[in-house]
Amino acid sequence: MNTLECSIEEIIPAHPNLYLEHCAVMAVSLLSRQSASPREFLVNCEGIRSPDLAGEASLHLSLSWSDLTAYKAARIRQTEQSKAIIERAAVAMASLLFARLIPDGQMRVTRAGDRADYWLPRLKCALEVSGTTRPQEMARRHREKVEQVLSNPLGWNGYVVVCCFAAPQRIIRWSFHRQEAKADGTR
Amino acid sequence: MARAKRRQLESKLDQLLGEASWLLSHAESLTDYGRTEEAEAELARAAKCEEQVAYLLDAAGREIEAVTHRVSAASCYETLGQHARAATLLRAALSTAIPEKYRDRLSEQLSRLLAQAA
Repeated sequence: MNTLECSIEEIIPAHPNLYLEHCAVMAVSLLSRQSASPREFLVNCEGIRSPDLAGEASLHLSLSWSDLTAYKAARIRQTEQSKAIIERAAVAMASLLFARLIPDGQMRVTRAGDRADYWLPRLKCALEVSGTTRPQEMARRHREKVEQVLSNPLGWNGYVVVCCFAAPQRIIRWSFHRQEAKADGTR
Repeated sequence: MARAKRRQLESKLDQLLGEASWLLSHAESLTDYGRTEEAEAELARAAKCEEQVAYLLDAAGREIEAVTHRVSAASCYETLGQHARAATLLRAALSTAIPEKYRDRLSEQLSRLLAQAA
């Protein structure tokens, strides 16, 4: 299995149409509660085509961060609600995967009611992201997000990223879904 | 539309799409940090940008995409308490041929807004 070594700060220049500094800080806020940099994730990929995956269905992601980001993260911890931190941390992880592994994977965001909708306009894909600290939640969240991403109003294909930040089972489930797959009930 | 004019429009669109997205995500971060006034100012800028994006997408014949940005603008105005403006944008969005589930979501959002007028 390949190992991908990344620093969280990479997401900031990789997605110029998103302000991601606070997502990076939130991710570190969550992860640094468990221990110091770097932290390991297992990324399970379904239907993902990336030159760097070399046909593998999983990879190890080793995530590091700078002292400056750690300092900002320590200040966050005292003031933020857990749910917001987990959501923003998941966006940070999704941003990292697309930045490093998918060419033309730059992200954009729009609003719909009180939720954010993420898009990969160069790929003409929608993106749904979810985070949790409970491994038993992952399957349900993934199902919900697949349903949501394929209901996007543009009729685009979709990616889903579900992140579990529970130590020691830090897992990311990353999948790609086609519209025609939904129509005939197969994947 | 002449090719040069189309290229110009696409270039301007690309720039504004990026700007709208950045403003929205920045507003979100300011909200997370409790910087409410700054968040609202940024959200107002994002809303105006989204309206401009919607107009240009319409001009480019990308009507369904225009709807998503009109809805994005409406959502910003709703958060800012500018319900009349939000409702007008949602009405405009609903006047386009859009998928049924999406139509139901927007209708729900509009009903919620109109209920606040009473």
